[in-house]
Amino acid sequence: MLGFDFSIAGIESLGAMMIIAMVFICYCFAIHLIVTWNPYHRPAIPLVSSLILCMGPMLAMSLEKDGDSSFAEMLEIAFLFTSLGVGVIVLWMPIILAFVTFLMLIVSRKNPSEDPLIEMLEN
Amino acid sequence: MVFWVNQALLSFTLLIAAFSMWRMGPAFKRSKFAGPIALIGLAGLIFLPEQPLYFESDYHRCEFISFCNDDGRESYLKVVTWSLISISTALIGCYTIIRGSRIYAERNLAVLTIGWFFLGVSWWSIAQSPWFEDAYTRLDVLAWMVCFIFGIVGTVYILSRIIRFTENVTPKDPPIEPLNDNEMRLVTEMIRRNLGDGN
Repeated sequence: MLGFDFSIAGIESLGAMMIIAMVFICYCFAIHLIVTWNPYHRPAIPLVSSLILCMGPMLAMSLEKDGDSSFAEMLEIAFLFTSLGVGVIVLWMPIILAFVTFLMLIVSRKNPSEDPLIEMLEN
Repeated sequence: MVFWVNQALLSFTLLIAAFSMWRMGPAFKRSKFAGPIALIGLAGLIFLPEQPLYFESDYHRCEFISFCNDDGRESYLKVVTWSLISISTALIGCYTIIRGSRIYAERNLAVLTIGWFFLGVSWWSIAQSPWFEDAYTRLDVLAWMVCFIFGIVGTVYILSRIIRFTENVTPKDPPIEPLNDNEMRLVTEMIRRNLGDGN
């Protein structure tokens, strides 16, 4: 059984986080392209590219163990990458929420101008 | 039997699909399926199946990754539940604050207070989650978080270059024919009716 030890803050783990981010974004992008398919899109090249960028690291990790890969293993690795990606995004939440709270403070104290269109032009 | 890792992955995929469907198309005509798909995705994330017992055939399916045991499932469920509480209360809070402020109508102090209450609940739920404290006091985790952002920025740049390349190689449509007399009369009439004839 392969363990994923990211506890050593070496250059490898920093590179691994970048690869996890790449796989995560490409996975989401591929799903987005598939579910929003319409006749006016030309999604073939972006879809193939994002699938290659997404599946490449997964396949490499799956082959790393014994040179063999299976669909179940790929699913487990896909879960690992996506859950790590979501986990890191969740870790950013306090910072995002602090920013949102600051915006809400401004919104709560805001007084509407007499003419919003003029204000928009001036800003 | 559906293994919890597969269900979690499928549910997350459904949530991404629902979000994409919800944001596509004109604002007055969003996809009707986005809401139900998002609900199925959320339910799938929360109601995960139990880990197979040692005498069940699927017990040894968890061969590759070290965390897909019962402890892993419990930890995953805990993070997902608390994150959903934080995110949903923050979203409800922001929506209520915007509704109660003087952006769209007169200020409604009761609505504003409810909004701030929900935002407070979101902060409280973050305070209840021990992993934030662990993460923000460890330099290596902070470095991962920053690297993750660099990874996102790099990937978005690569994808934008790929999209630009796709646009460049896509054959352009020929120029459309000019309007004929009948079409010109129709368009003129539509504009006249909408704008008035100057009287």
